[in-house]
Amino acid sequence: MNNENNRPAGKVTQLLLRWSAGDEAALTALLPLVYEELRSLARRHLRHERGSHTLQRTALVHEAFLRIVDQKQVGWESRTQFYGIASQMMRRVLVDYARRRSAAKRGDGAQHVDLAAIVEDESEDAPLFAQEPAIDFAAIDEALKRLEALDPQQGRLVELRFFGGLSIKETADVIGVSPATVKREWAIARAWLQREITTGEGA
Amino acid sequence: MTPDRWQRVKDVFSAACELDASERNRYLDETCAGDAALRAEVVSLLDAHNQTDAVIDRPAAAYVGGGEVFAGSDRRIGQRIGAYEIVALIGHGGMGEVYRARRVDAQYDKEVAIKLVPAGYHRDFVLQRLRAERQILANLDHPDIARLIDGGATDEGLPYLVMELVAGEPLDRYCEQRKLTMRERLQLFREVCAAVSYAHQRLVVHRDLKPGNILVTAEGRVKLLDFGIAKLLQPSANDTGAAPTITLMQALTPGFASPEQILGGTITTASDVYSLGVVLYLLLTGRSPYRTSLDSAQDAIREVCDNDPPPPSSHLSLDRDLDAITLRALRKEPDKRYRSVDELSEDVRRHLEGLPVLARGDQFSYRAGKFVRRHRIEIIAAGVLAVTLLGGVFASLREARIAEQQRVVAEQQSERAERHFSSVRKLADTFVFQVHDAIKDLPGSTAARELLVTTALEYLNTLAAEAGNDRELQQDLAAAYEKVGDIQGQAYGQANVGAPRLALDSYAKAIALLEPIVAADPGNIGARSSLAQGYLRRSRLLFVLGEPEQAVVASQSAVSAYEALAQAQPDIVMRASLADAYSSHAYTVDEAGNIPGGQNDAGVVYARKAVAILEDLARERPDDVNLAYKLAKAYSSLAITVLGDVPRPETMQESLEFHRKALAVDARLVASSSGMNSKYVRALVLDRMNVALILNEMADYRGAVENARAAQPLLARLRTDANNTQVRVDSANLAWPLGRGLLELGELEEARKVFEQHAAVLAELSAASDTLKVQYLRGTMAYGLAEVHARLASTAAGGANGRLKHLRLASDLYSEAITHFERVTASVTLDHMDRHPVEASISGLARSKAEIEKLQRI
Repeated sequence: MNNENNRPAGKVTQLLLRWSAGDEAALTALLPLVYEELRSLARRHLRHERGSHTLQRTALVHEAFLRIVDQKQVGWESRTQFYGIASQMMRRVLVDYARRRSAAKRGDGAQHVDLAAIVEDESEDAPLFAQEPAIDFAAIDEALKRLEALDPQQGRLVELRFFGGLSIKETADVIGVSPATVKREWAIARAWLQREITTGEGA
Repeated sequence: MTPDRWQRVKDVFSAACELDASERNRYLDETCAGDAALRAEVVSLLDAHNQTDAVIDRPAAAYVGGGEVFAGSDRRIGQRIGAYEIVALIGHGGMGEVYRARRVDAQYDKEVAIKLVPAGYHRDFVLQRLRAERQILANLDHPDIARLIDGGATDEGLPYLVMELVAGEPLDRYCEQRKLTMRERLQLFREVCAAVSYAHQRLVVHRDLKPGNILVTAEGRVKLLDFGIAKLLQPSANDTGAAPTITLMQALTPGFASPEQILGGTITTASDVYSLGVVLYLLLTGRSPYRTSLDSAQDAIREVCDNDPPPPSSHLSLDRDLDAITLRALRKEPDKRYRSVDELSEDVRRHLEGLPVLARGDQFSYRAGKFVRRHRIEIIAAGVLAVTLLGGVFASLREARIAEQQRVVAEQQSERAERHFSSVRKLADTFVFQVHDAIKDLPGSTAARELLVTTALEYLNTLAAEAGNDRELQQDLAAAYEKVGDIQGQAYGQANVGAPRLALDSYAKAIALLEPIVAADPGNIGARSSLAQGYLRRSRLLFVLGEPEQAVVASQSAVSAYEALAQAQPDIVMRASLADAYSSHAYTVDEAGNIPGGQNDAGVVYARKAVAILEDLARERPDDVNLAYKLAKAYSSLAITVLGDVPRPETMQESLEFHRKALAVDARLVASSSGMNSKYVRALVLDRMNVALILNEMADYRGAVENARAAQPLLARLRTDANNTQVRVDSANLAWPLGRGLLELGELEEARKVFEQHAAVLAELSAASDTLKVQYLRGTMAYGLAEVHARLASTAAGGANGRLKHLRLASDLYSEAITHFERVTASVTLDHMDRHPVEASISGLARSKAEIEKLQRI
C-alpha cells in the first residue's frame, strides 16, 4: 500500500503549476511521480479487485489526480494538463510492465526501465494483473506508435481515451478540439487499431 | 503510408461512414476509381469499424486486475472443446466469448457456436450467468430461438455451451438491405414477438432485445440469440435460489433498455415489451426513438426515463395506428404498456388487417404520467450510475464517488420508495389508522389493538431508520408513531394496554421527526398540527405518569402551537383543537400547582377559554357528537380547576354545576350511541365519580353513593374487555368516593367489600402499570379499609382483644396507605380534595396507635 507520508503531497501540485506556467523542467520532475502513483494505484486496484469496481478501475488517471494534486490550488486547465500526462504515464506503466513480463518469460532477465529508478517501495515485478492480461499492451503500443507516425493527434487521442480512460469531453479538452472532432477521429483510430491488433503484425 | 495518404483515407472513411450500405458502395466506386489500394484500405477499416467490441473500447485500466482474455481468443483457435474444434472467434464481451466450431468426429459437418466464459473475467459471476443461460436455453425449444445443442466443461473446468450457429443478419440491417416494405417489416416483427412470447410463457425474460440479438437468416427466418442476461421469472424446482442477481455491471444496451432497467427497477416481461417497442420504432423509421445519442448518463436518463419519444410519424408519413402501437409499447410506466408481447403482436396484426387497434383507446392519458417524477431525484441518481457503468460512459472518479454515495442513498431510498413507501402508507392508513379507529371504541378490542401496536412498531422502527430526508415519509411516520403511542397508553379517553412509558417513547419519536420539518417549513400546516398534537399527547401522558412540570412544558408548547394554527386556519377543527389544548393546559397547570409567573388561577383561565370556544362551536354544530364530547370534557376540566387549591363552599358548588353540565352532555351522548360507545360511557362514569367526590366533600354522602352506584352498571358495560387496564383503574377510581360515602353513612360492611376488592385489583395493576394514579388509589383503598377497621374497633365485640385486632389492622393499613401516598406526594402536590385521605391516614395512624397503646396498658 502506498505510504501517504512518502508522497510529496504539495510537490506534484507545485510541479504541475510550474509546468502549467511554462516551466518545461517541471514536467521532467513531474512525470516519474505520476508514473509511480499510477503504478501503485494499479496495484492497489488489483488487490482490491473484486469484480465490481469496473468503474473505478477505468479511472486510475482521475483517481491519481484526486490523490496527488491539491485540487484547491489547481484550476481546470491544470487538471486537463494533468490528465494528459497521466494518460501518457499510464501507457508507460502498462507497456513497461508487459515488456518486463515477456522478457522475464523469455529468460532475458528483467529489462531495465528508465523510470524504474524511482520505484522504492515495491518490487517492479509485483503483478499488476490478477493473471497474465491476455491483451498485449506491448503490441497495442507498437500499433499505436505506427498510428502516431501517420497522425500524431490520433495517437494522442488513443492515448487519452484508451490508456487514460478519459471521456470524449475530457479528451477534447486536453487536445483542444471539439467533442465532435474527437468522436470522428476516434472512430477512425479505433477501426485502424482494431484492424492492426486483430490481424496480428500489421504492415 | 504517408501522412498525406492517411489523411485521404480518413476523409473517404468518414464520408463512407455517413452513408448506408448501398450508397456506400457507389460512393467508394466513384471516389476510389483507379485507386484500388485506397478502396481496400477504407473497406478494411469499415469492416473493423463495424466490429462491436473493439479492444480499445474499454479503457486500458479496465484490464488491470481482471486479466481479461481478449487476444487470448486467438489461442483458442484449433483447440478442442468436447467433441468440437474451435474454428474462429465470432464475438466476445463481458458475458462470454462466442466461437465458431465444428465437430471433430465429423458425424455431421454442420458448424456450431460455442460460448465460453472469458478466463479470469468476473469469473464467479459469469460462471453463474452461463449456467443460468444453459438452464434457460434447455427449457426453450422454438424454431426462432437459437437452440442449445450441448454443454459441458473444458479441460480447465470452464463451462461452455454449444449452440446452433446462426448465419444471419441483424434485424434492422436485414430490413434496410432488402428494402422490405412496411408490411413485410411488421410481419417480421410479429415473428420476433412470437419467439419472445414463447420465452415469456416459459417465464424467461430476455432483457437484452435489440437488432444485434435478433438475426434474420438468408431464408428470412428470425432467430433470437443471446439469452446471456435473460432471467427466469420464477425459480424452478431445482433452482437452489442462487440464481445470479443481475447487478449494475450487467451488460445492457441503453439504446434498447427499458426505463426500469436503466433505473434498476423490477424487470418483468413488460421490459421486453419496451425493448420490442424500440425495435419496432427502429424498423418503422430507421431511427432511434431518442432525440439524442445516449452518450451521457444524463441523456440516457432523460431520454429513456423522462422524455416522451416523438411519434414515428414525425419522421415519415405513417399510419397513426402505428404511432399509437409503438408509443404504447414505449410507455415509461411498465403497467401502461401492452400487457403482453402477444397483445402487442395482436395489435400489429389488427393494424395489418385494417382493424381498429387497441392502442388508440389509450391516448388521452398518454402524457399524463411519467415514470420518473421530478421529485424522485434519488431514483435518477441511481439511474445515472447504472447508465454510467453499463453504457460505458466513464465518469471521473470524483463523479463516481459522488454517484456511489448517491447510489447507496438512492438504492436505499428507491428501494424504500418502491417497496416500503407504499407499505408505510398502507400500514399507516389501513393497518393502524383505519383498523384501529374502527375497533378502538368497541368493547373487547384491546388484544387486537395490542397486536396492531407490536406489528406497527416493528415496521415503523425499520422505516424511521430509512426515512432519511424524505419529509413526506417522516410526516407519515410521525403520525403513525402518535397513533401507536395512543394505543400503547393514551392518558385519557381510550382503553389502553397499559404501557405509558412506551407510549411516551412513541410520542417522542413523533415529535423528533416533526420538529425539524416544521422548523424548515412553517407553512406545512399538517406537520404543525401533528406536532401540536404530539405535544398535547406527550403532556397528557406525562401528567398521568406524575411528571407535571414536564407536562406543563409540553402543554404550553401545544397551546402556543394551536393558538398560531387557529389563527392561520380558524376552522372548526383548529378551534376545537385549540380548546383541547387549553383544557389540557389548564388541568396540567392546575396539577403542577404553579406556573412560571405564578398565577394561581391560570388553570381556571385556560379552562374557561376552552369552554368558551367549545360552547360556541357546539352552538354552531349542535349535532356534532365529537364537539359535544369535547365540551363535556371541557366542563369537567373547568369543574376540577375552579375548585382551587382550598375548596370553599362557593367553588365546590360551582364545580358541582360544571360537573353536572358535563354529565348532562355525556348522558345524552351515551343515550344517542345506545351505550355502545365506550368513550362516552367512560366519560359518564368519570362524571358520576367527580360528582360523587364533590358531594362527599360537601357531606352529601347519600348523593355521593347514589352517583357512584349509578356509574357501576356503566362500568360493567366497559368491563367486557377483561384485559382493560383503564376500566380497572376507573373502577378503583369510582370505588373511592363510593366506599367513602358508604363509610360515612355507616355501611361499614359494604364499604369494606368495595375497598378490599379494589385493593386487590390495584395491587395487580401496579405490577403492570405503576402510575401515580394507581399508587394514589391503592393509598385510598388502604385508608378506606383502615377507616373501616378503626370504626369497627369502636363497636367491636369481644372486648379489648376484639378492639385491638381491628386497631392493629387499622394501624397497619394506615401505614400502608401512607407509604403509597408518600410515593405520590414525592412527585406531585395533591390538591385539597385528594389530600384528604392522606392527611386522614396520618392522623388515623396516630390515633390508632394511641388507642392501641391505651388498650395495651389496660
